[in-house]
Amino acid sequence: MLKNLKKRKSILLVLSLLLTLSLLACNQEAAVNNEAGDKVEYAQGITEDTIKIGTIAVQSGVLSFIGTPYVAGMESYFNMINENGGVNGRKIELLKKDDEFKPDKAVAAVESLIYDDEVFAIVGQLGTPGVVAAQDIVKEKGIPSVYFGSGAVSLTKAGENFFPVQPNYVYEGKLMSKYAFEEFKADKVVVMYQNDDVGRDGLEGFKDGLKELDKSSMLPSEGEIAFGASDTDFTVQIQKAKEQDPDLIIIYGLGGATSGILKGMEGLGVNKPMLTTYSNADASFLKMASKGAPNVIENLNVMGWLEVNGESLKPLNEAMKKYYPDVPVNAYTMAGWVAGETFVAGVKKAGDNLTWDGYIKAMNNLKFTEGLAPEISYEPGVRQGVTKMAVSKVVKNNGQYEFKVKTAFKEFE
Amino acid sequence: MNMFFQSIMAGLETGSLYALAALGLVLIFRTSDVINFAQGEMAMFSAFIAFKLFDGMKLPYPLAFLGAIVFAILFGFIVERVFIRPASKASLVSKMIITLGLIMIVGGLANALFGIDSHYFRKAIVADNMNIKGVVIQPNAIFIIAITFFIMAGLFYMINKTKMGIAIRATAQDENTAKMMGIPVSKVYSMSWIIATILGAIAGILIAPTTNVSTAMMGEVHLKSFIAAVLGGFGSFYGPVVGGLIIGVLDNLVGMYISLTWKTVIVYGLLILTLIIKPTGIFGKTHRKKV
Repeated sequence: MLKNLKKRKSILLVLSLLLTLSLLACNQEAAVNNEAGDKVEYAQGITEDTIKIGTIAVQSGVLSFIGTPYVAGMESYFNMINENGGVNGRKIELLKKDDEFKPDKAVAAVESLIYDDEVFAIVGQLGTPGVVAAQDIVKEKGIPSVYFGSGAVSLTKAGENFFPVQPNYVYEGKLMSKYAFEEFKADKVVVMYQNDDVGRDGLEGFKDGLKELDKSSMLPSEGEIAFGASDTDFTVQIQKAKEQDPDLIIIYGLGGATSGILKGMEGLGVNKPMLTTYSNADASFLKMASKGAPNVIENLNVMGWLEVNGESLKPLNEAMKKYYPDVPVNAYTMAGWVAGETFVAGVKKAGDNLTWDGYIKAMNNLKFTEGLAPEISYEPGVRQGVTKMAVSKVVKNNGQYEFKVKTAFKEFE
Repeated sequence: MNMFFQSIMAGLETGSLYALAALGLVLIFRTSDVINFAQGEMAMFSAFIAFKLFDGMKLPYPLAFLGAIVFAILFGFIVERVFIRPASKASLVSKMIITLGLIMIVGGLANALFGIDSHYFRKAIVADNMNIKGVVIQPNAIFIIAITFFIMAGLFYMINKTKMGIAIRATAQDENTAKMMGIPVSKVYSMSWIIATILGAIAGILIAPTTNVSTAMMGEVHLKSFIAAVLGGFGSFYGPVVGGLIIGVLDNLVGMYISLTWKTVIVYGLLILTLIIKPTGIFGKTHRKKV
């Protein structure tokens, strides 16, 4: 009994000694940084030659078709930067977490990146459900979170450490109303919207925009037509839209449902100009949708926030060919690439002041125009991300369908 | 009035797709009381094979269709032999959990082999649409409805009028007694999995032009086919067909005349109500044990 007690005491002693030593070691590390004369105590995830960051995206299961090219695009960009010497001498180390597009897993992944891996920033978290679920943790911790693969409007008001880039659907909807009026000269519009956050945000924005333009009569209440994201039959919706005899049909939904609607329109012979969200401004969507609706597709216009041409896409195409030759280059790849560009632009601007405050301060005055997006800018308290968008039309060129930009990049003012 | 008939026509086509997908489910259930939750994934895999034969190897459509059927025969045989038969002594729940595991395996394999993109696959019949007094009728829709009824009738005939059918019914009723009567029970199980996989392949190929070929193509259809089978009753082959048609048509009529925003809630609310009144489904029979 006595022997046992003595043994326990000595274990306790050893443990306390280890704890004291490790605490001392931590203090010494901080002191070394201070003594280095930089007068900078770097944030977590930063060393003299590396910047550790993390991303969360679906990489397995049925939705991996979104996350796989997206992460490949982002990683290709960082690989290219690292191969050219990194940013201010620091190489970027990207940790990838798979949340399977599930909010609970996204929250766990964000916590793990912040507390276990101690990353400097979260870059390009993908998927509205996960992004919204993890928002409070990111806000509370104050870690910079740059680029979200989401159009959730709440991100624009989430806090100073949030840097959304993609236009949110409410804003895009507003801009669509301006284009409906100015570009399509429409007197009557029908909005077919996906009955979830994506479509409802877009519809809300469109109605807000019409109100501000004093054109609310353009969209009668019968012109608001809902459809489900996983619906397979759109006959009723298309008939209701046709009955209205509109000058323009807006389809506010993602790829699967939108291509289903186009196929339905082809079958029922609907021949009206259409405008859809930037989420569908993607070559793989066009390839898939055009085969099911070869005539109707030429009536389709899409919003776009990326200035995509052979020249601007060259670095991306080359990097993807080198690092991920088997992954398709599409809108998701480009989005991942822009996430990388935006984060690195902030790091370059922050210089050696790589604290969270230093980075946020640098990003607060960012005006980045050298990337795939025409302009990404932030100001203190302003987090709209990209605000300039253009309309492209589907055209047939040598038997192939492609998007052709038909307007200048405009803002909703 | 045109809009009414157009909605009915489209509802019948979509409902037939649900019914087609449900028939394979029902066949396996009738043989072994197991619900194959992987029926949708297996159909997706076969549809991919047809698509690859057609688009990748440039085979004519009928040959690609046949190729997928041949593949389905092998696929059904292998799945039963490798995954189901070794667990023949396991409980029903365990067998159903194996089919849940199959979803992961088949889905993961499809992702790895065929990639993550969606592809358009042509319709079985690509003739011009007919316009009858303002109602557009697509020949492919007629073909889908016809083939659904043809398969339903074929299965009905097989179960009730052939030796194979008697063997299936006997095995379903009591496996041991069936064995004692000289019925090759293992062969019966194998056969029912093969036929169900063929039915899945046909459903997948016919559904593909609507949903596009992708690893996620059967998600919604599989779920609705399951609901169709429950609504019509798992005990017969005409039950799921009627169940599928009811769902397809009701979806459209509620959307057209009541509310598009609330149609899912209304339609499935009505279905739940039906099941409360008739728990075994519309054509299901209640078996009472005599004391």
